[in-house]
Amino acid sequence: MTDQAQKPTGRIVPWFLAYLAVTAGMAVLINTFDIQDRLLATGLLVAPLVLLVPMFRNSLARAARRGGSGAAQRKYLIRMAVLSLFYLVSLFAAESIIADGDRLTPVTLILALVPGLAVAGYFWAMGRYLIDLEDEFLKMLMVRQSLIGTAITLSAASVWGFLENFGLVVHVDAYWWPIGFFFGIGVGALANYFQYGTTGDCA
Amino acid sequence: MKNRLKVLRAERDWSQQELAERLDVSRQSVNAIETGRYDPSLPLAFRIADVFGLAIEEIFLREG
Repeated sequence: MTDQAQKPTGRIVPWFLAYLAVTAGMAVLINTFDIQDRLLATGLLVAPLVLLVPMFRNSLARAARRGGSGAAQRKYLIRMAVLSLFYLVSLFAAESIIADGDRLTPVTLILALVPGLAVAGYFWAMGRYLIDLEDEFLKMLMVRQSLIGTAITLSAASVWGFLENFGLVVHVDAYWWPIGFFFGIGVGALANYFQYGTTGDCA
Repeated sequence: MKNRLKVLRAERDWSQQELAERLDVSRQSVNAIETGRYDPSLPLAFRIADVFGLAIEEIFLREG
């Protein structure tokens, strides 16, 4: 058995980068053409998630080729996939049922809360993964990634918040910051690659 | 911290993957330790020593 024989067959990072690029492209498209239809805008932002399907499949294949850490990674990927599905369904339900100006009712409140809670579930899944992961090196890589992602996002949110407060930039809805965090996770994976020669499991 | 992991592995004709399986860690971990990019914890250093049947100080060496 050679070291080369153990290289995973599927690519993960390019699919993730493609997802980020297409999502950003969709956001530009929505702003450029001033698309007001909320359902259409949501659909355009959600459509790039299709690019995460091959990433998910490649990640599962990579996990299957690994030993102890593979089981933790597999559980993490399945949790993320289930949460993503939950997020999509809840977001479409909220966008379809709640109209701007609707009065607050228990139903609208729950519908508006659930997509955010699904995103919060991503962070729970990451925490569970850190607990399940027994490989200390991979665990360290993921902690580094998360810290880099957190630092980038909180710094950007702080700077943007003050700029917005003084009327120098446009308003950014708060749900974009978790997306910034996942972009930061990608930057963290690159930092891991340059310093440790591997991106770790989560990229 | 320097180490003799690569030499010891080569003496036994083990691939990085084989050593990783014996240690129950990822191949990336073995590679990072071998290349000196990552220093293992004491429990993992003991596991490495056990796998090679050597004392820790026969595998891991002080810098300089």
